[in-house]
This record gives sequence, C-alpha cells and structure tokens, in this order.
Amino acid sequence: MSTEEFDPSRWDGRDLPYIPGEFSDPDGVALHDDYDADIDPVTYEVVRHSLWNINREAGETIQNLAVSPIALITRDFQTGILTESAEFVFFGQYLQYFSGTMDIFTKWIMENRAEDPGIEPGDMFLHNDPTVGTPHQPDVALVAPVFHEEKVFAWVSNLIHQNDVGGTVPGSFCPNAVDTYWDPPSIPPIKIVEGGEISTEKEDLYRRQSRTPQNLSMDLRAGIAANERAKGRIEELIEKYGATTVKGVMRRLNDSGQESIKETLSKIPDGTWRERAYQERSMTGDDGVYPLELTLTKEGDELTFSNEGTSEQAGAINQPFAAWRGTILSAANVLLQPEQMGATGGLVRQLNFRPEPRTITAPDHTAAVSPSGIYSNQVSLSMANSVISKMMLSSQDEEIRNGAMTPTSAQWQCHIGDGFTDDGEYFLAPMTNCMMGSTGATPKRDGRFANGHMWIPEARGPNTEEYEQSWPILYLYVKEHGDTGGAGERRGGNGGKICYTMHGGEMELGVYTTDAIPKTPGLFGGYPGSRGETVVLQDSDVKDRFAAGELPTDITEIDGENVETVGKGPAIELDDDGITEWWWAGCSGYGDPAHRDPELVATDVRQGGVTVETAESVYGVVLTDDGDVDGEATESRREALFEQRLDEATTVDDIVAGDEAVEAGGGD
Amino acid sequence: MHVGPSLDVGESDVSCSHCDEHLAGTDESLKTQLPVREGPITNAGPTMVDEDRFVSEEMVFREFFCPGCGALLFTETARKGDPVLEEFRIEAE
Ligand SMILES: [Zn+2]
Repeated sequence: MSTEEFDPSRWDGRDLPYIPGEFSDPDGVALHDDYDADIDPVTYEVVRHSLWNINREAGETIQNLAVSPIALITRDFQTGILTESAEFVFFGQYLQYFSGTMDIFTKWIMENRAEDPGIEPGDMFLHNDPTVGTPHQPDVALVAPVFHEEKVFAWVSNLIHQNDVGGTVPGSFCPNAVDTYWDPPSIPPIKIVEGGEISTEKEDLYRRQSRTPQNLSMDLRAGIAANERAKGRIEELIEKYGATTVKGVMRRLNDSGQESIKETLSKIPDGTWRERAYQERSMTGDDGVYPLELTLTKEGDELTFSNEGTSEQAGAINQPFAAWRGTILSAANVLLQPEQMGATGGLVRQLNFRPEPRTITAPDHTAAVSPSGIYSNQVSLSMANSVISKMMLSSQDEEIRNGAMTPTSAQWQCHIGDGFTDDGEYFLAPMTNCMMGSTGATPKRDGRFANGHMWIPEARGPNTEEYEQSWPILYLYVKEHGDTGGAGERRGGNGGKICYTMHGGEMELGVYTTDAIPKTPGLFGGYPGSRGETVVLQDSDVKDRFAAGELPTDITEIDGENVETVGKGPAIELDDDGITEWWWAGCSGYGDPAHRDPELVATDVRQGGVTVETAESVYGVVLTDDGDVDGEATESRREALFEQRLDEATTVDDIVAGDEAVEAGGGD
Repeated sequence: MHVGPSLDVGESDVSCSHCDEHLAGTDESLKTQLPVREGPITNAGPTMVDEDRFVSEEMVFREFFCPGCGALLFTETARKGDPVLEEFRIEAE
C-alpha cells in the first residue's frame, strides 16, 4: 500500500467523483456542535433506541407511500440520520450500498450550496448525480437539514429507486449507453423544497425526463414525507431531552461504534487480501473482457481499500465511486458489525478509500453508469464480500471467523420489459423475482436458497399474482435451481429460475440478464457461484399445452423457436406465444467439496439442491439406489479424485509467463 | 495461525492443515508454488457455459491443490495467460 498522502482536492464531484477532504465548518451555514459528554446510561439507551426507531419510521413511511415497484417490493431504498457534519448516526436495514453515498452528498451540499442558494429551515435538496454521489441515476436522493436554534443540528435523508427517470431504455438501466449522455439525466443537488413548499418548476423539470412521471411525483412525496417524519421526531426528542443530550448520544454512539470496530480489528492480523473478477461485454454489441480488482490492506486499526488493477472506464459497466464505496461499506457493515444495528458512523472513521481515477469503479462524470445496479455494483459487492471474509478467516478468533460468509452473487439478474396491456395502457415491468435471493456459506453452515440477500436485509420477493395482475404475463413456475450454489465443504445457496409466457398485451424486453464468465469467487477451494441466463422461445406451443390441460414445469418440455441471448443484447419483443425462463444465480462455496460430509451431500441430493452427477463428480460422493451414502465407494471415489487432481495438475509457470506469474506480487 | 479451512501460516512457512505438507515460504506468493489444473470455465460448475459465443477472449478456470494430499485449496477464474491472483499476504503474529 502506498503511504503517500491521498489528495482529495481533484475529487470535487465535477469531473472526478466527489471524495470529501478533512471536514471543516462550511461558510454560510452554522452547525450545532455543542454536546453533553456526561449522559446517564438509561437516557443514553432510550435516546439511542429512539433515534433507531425514528430512522425505521422514516423507512416505514416510504414503504407505505412509495409506488415504484422496485422500491415498494424489493425495498430498494434507504433512510439515514446524520450528524450536523454528515457523519452517519443510523442507517436503515434496506439497500446497504446506499451507505456509500449519503454522507458524501450531504457534505457536498454543505460545501457547494450553503452560500448559494443557502441552507435554511424547511429546505430539502434532491439529486441523482452519480458523480456527486448516487449508485446510478434512478436512485434519487432527498436530504433535509434539521435545525435547532438557527443552526444545523442534524440531517435526515433517503434514496428511493425510481421506476424510470429517462435514458435510452425503459426502466432507466441502459445497457446500450455509450456515455452519460445516453444515460438518464444527472441532476446535481437542487432545492426541491424551499421553506416547506415543493418547487413546482423544479418538479416539472424532474418529471419531464420520465416515461412514468406520475411515479416520480408520488415517490417524491413519499421521500419528503419520510424526511419530514424523521425531522419532526428528532425535534420532539430535542424538546424532551435537550439538544446537547441528543447530540451527546449521537457522539457517544459513533465513538463506541469506533471503539467496537477497533476491538474487532485488533483480533485480526495485519495484511493484504485481494480479489479479481471479470466483467464481460461493456455494452450492447461489445464482446470484451474487463478485469476489476479490489485490495484490502489492514494496518493496525485501519482498513484501506484500493481498486488498483481495475480496467479503464468502459461502455455501460461502470460504477460511480460512491457506489463502490457503498458496496464495501455494505459488506463491512453486515459482516463485521451486525450488532451495531446500522450505526455506521464509527466504522466509517476506520476506513480509507483509494480509487484510481477513470476506472470502471471510479469513473469520471462522462461515463455511463445507469445499469450499475445490475452489473458493477453487484461485482463490487461480491468482491468486497470476498476480501472482508478472507480477512475475517485469517483471524484466530472463532467468532470473527464464523462471521465470514462466501460472496453474494456478482450480478443482479432481472428482466425489465415495457409495453401495452390489452386495454392499451402503457406499463413498465421491472421483474425482481431474484430478490427471493440466495445466501453465502459460512464456515459452520451452508448458504440457502430463497433466503434473501446479505446486502439488503429487509428485501422481499415479489408476489407472483401481483405481477400477473399488473402486466400481461402468466407465470409457469418459480423454483430452486439445483447445482447453482458453488460447491464446497460448505456450499453456497442455490439460485432460482422463473418462467413466464405472454398473456395478452404486448411487451418488449429491454433488459434481460445472461452471462458466461463466473464472477462470484469461491473461497479457499470453494467453487464460484453460478451465472445468469435468459432462455427465450418464440412461437411456442405453450398455449396448445394449456388447451390440452397440461401445465409444463420446465421450459425443456416446451417446443418453440429458440432465440439465443447474450448479456446486454438488443431488446426482444416476445410474441403472443413467447415464453422465457430466466435464472438468478447462487452464491459461492467454501473449502474443498471433496471434504464435505457425505451425509450432507446425500441430503442435498434428496432435496434437489445437488444432482447425483455433481455429487459424484465434484463432491466424490457415491449414493446407493436408495439415495444413501455408499461409504466404501465414496472413500475410493474420493481417493481417486485426489489422485486425479495431482495427475492432471501442472505448475503455475506452465500456464502463465514466468515473471508475470503473480498479480501485483509482493503485497507490500 | 489457521487461515480458512486448510492453511496453517507460521513464522516462515505455510503448510496444509490436512496433511502438514509444506506449501510455500511466507515470503513467497502461495498459489504460484502449488500444483494447478487449468481448464475451461465449464469446469466451474454444471450450469456454466462455453464463453466463446459471449466474449472474444479465452477464459479459464484454475484449481490449486495441496501437493501432499490433493486438497483443493483455491479456485480462480482468469483470462487465459493472466497472472495468478495473490489472494492474501498476512503478517504472522
Ligand atoms: Zn495436504
């Protein structure tokens, strides 16, 4: 790791993404920083939990009022409470990688908006600018100051994923975007609410870009209501306990969070942990391969993350810096300090980020980033999950080791279609069945199918009937997909697959997911998680099957004209008898599969999680006709497997040019 | 120090925790010292697919073994010819 001082001055959110420097009081706005250092334990706990509940109540307000399907169903939103200087106090249990953005854009607003147009009570700022700090343009942020005695006491904020904010592809994930000018418009922070009133001219400007402007207006009000609720509750708390007490609780919460993460890190040796993954096809029509790298260096009680070795920004597979930071914070927050319940401020103090500019994970403002939620955000989540877990698995503390988890899926598989119903009504259909999820393995237990995702604890899988009611489609099945969890001594959770056919109306699939390169790395001998696929049959005989009283349970039983798909391919219009199956991927495995308890493999086979073929070829487990473990045959099968591995192996020098054998090398 | 399920990292060397085989010095890049099997990415699992139709570069799946007992210690996906990724380097306590 370089010991050179990192200079954030070039990273101002104009050309390069914004990275705050040392915080200093901004000109033009006074900050309330008086606090009480001496608070009795009961008051501390009461106020601490009240703050947690306030943030949760803000989240519930969004749940109750938002209308965009992705936000509503998958909980693709987030709420946060920040101190006057924009340190996190509490961060919600919704989409975790928004954590990389909120404190950053709030600081940017203080640096860039305090003097003009000013920050006053009753104001609220809206923005979706990835270079200032959002994961991509559809994630629209709202942030409001909470004033006490004419000083900013705190900030409340939320981000809500919007149905459509414009851009070349309906749904605003634009895989064909050459640069940001193909993406939806990026709006730097604007004062959308002034003195408690929504600015209609700014709302009109914001709505104009969208295919579904009514969604924007409704969700705008949901976000405003959530911030207003949080703000009002904090004001009540100040009224009841006094400003210096409430601020003292915030301070102590972050200080104790910081002590807690330092304590955890003291039980982990210093060192460097690295991961590499390959993105494929930077945009529609491209067939390139793009490495991403992540290095975690631990020195004492600080963690430093670098993306050195990552490809230059390319096509539409870029990820804003704030999102990259957020994916790292997600993994750190969930894996290293789950007991903190989202009190992230102390953790953030111990982390440093050292991005190389104009790369896929820290692009400049010209880069297309709108589909990042499908591609690079997920790869980075998976890689952050990997390096942090590998670091935890280097600890000699059992609790820390057992908290490690194999990487979450490195792509967010989905379908986004749009079209018209039989009644001629326009619809936009973001299908997020993948939110049923899959979890990684830990040293003590397997990952699981349909167990959610580690990076969005509150997420829900959608209701099939609701989708069928909203869009002209009919589901044939949603089911576990065997053999998709990475094999290992502990195996990754399986992914799933979904099949639907058209049912009246018309629909074009603008976004669908298919990829070839395994991107979800296995840990310490575990196999990678699986990949995504979209199978399309046009002019199928599925309706004839229905007429004959049959209900196919697998797409292989259906005849039709196969349309081969690749990642970020052109839009596909499904015909009246079109049918499509798509997969969401499983997580990766942990340790050598040939060391897995054979009884667990037999159970996997019985439950359909692993096929008989994989049990034998990968796990080296032979089953009897009754499905029981054949002990003797398994033992000799495994012996043969170990022998075969070494017979077929060669040296690294044989597969890689000599002096290039080690990536980066040295580690110092 | 025990690292992951299969490695013991001492002051000067890394060994296999299943068979005690010496794997590498702590000053060496561990994976470069191990027997490795390189094959197509379809080796990475039964639902994997040949990448030929998707990308213009050849991808490989690598498995790194303990030379003593054949335990699978690491897997990695790489572009053919790309360096082996050094996954960790820790300071023995
Ligand atoms: Zn061994």
